[in-house]
Amino acid sequence: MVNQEPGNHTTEHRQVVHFTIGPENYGLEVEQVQEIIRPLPVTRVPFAPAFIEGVINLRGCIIPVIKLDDLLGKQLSENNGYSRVVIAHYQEITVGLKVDSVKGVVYLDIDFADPILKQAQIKTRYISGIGKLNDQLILLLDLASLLDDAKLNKQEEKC
Amino acid sequence: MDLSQYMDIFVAESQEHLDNLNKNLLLLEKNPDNNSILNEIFRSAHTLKGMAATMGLERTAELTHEMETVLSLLKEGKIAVKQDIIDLLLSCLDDLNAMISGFVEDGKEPCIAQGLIDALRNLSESGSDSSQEQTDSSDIEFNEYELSVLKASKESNYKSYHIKIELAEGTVMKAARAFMVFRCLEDFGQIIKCIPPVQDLEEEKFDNSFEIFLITMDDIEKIATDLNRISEVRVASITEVNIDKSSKTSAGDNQKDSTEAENSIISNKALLLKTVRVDIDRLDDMMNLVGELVINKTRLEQIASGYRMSELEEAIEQMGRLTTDLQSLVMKVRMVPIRQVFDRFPRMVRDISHSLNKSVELVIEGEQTELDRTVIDEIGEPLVHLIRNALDHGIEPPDVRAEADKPKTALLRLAARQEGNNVIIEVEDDGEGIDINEVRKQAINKGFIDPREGELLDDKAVLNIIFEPGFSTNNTVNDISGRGVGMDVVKSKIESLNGTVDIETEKGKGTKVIINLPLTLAIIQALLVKVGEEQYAIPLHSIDETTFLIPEQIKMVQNQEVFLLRDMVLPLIRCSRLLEVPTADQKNGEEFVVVVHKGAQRLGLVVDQLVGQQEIVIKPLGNLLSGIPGIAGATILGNGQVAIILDVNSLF
Repeated sequence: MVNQEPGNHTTEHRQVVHFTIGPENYGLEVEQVQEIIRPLPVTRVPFAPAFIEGVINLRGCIIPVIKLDDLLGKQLSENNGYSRVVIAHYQEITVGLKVDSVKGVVYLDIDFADPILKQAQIKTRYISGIGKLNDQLILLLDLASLLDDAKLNKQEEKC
Repeated sequence: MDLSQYMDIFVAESQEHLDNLNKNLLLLEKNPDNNSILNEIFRSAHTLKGMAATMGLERTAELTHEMETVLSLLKEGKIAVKQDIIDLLLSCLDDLNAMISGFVEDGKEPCIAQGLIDALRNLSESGSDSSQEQTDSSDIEFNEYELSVLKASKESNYKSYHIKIELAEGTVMKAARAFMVFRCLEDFGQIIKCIPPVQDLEEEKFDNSFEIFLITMDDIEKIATDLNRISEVRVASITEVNIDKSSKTSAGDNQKDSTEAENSIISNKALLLKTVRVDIDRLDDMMNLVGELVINKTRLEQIASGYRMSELEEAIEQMGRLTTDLQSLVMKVRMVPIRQVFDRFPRMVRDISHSLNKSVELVIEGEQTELDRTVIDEIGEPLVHLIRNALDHGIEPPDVRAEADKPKTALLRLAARQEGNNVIIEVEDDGEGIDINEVRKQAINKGFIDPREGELLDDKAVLNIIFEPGFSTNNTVNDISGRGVGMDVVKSKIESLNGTVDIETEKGKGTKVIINLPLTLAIIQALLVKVGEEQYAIPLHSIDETTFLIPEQIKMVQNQEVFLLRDMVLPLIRCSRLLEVPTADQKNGEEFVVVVHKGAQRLGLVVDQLVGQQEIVIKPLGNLLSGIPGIAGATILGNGQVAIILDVNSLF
């Protein structure tokens, strides 16, 4: 659904999973989320790229866990008992993303062309849009570019 | 009608028939007088024709039809089985194969094989001057039972008739028409025989006519009018059967052969009915699930050991036995006899040895040896390389063999056998062998080793140079081999299957290539080790031994730690440093060395603790992490934790 709002911003109505990393609020489109689990023991993978924390055993499938906080330049809070792993998938790749807490699933009007996204001082590389929930800003995570970069990173590391 | 859903079945079955034809044609070449082989060939060709016609492959059907004509002339003895005919039929198979795979790829069959069709037609025209009269009733053979029935009925004044039925062109439900004919005739008497057999009639495996032998007391005219009343059915001819005459023709070996062939056909059919084709992916899924079950079983065992409840332990033990049975069963389901791979070699050896003017006898042993499906799919290519090499370089031309006092016909042996959890495949020829000094010279000339090193290397090490990429002792490149891409491909393929290759050779006596493969790829034996707090798995097949690390035995050579083990000097790799394990630097007493090998090279891996030997299920790390050098995959331990499997080959 595409609405034209005042100010010429294109917003789209999306259903997102709302989670937090440190003080910030993020969202991931619900189609890309497979499930949300409590943290499982992570096995470190030697020689793996730096952004990979390790792998977990999700009911017999081996799934890499990405240090999302590192990639976004943020810091996860100390374990407060609420932390979760969001199992997300994009095309053939399934990954785990460690987050501080999952708030819920919400409908948002996402703005894909907000001027904030173009400002250089904010790390917006993996953010594709912004939505407002009450008085909070929710940054929509761009899983595709995140995983594309991850693959690139891997190739660089090989060379 | 949408035929696409039958495509898979058609492809699989036609491939089976082509393989069958191939095998039997080669057998026929060796035993030209064996009628049952001819019958088998005929049967395969006929089925293939039917299938091709149903799928709309007109050209394929036409070619098989012409093949059938020639085959029937062979069967009747009107032309003799000769090499040129076998050649012709074999090249027909090649074209059939090409047409079918072309059809599969782009949905229409390529326009080839006209030359072959013409050649077959010429052959059949020259061979048959009198093929018309072939279906006189006197040619029909009865088996003993049918004969006794015929005789008995004649004695009790019944009459036997030979009725030929023709169906109208374009009859849709031929089997139903045939059934109506049968119903009609059964009102009059007893049907003792029909051509083709009832089963083929039911499956519509016949053209537009069939023949029936009926015993009856009724008037033949009445039967004919009743039959003609069935729509689309016409009585072509009715003749009374003269048993005395037919009993003469049926005596002798011919009949025995045909019943034998019939028996084998029947047993073949029975076998087919008992098998089910399963998508290999489903088997993979099943294997995964069984792997999960094994892991969970281990987990339950661990939990139970904390409770000391005998009832629980009993139940878990029972479950353990069941999972073990299930695991071995699933493994067995995935096993395929290596015959599937070996079957294509007689033809290949025949063609190549003809083109090289060498006379070679191929001996195949242990073709029933079973291997995991995934291994079977991969092993064909390296074997083709090895056999081509043996035929081209190994086996000498006949005149050279004669001078060397060897039998004119060379021997090429292809053997498979199981040894424990491994399968050994040997390719052995009695040709000229490999001249190790020549290899040494070439290796120095081409810069694979430097001259001084070359003098020092032992024969075994020199032979291993053959497996280096780009190395070939043959200076001439030809059709069959000599481009120097062969042996390194063989080696890398086998190693990717966790196997090893060795060569044994004796100058003038021959060469033997020995391939050692694991039975299966999905589950392997591994040694679990601890480095710091982390557990790693090292595949057992690359481990030589394990030993204590005694500090006095460590020496430094050019800043590299080496370790003296008996008389060997082994480079030492500290896993804690290699794998960058955190918290592993504090020395807490003993350390161990795991001696691993790749080919003839050895090195020692230093680990903190040996946990034990265990069967592990290899799991891929997924797209994001695949292809990291040094890591072969991961596995899930009994406690649900993931352990990384080290790829020993990449450490060298």
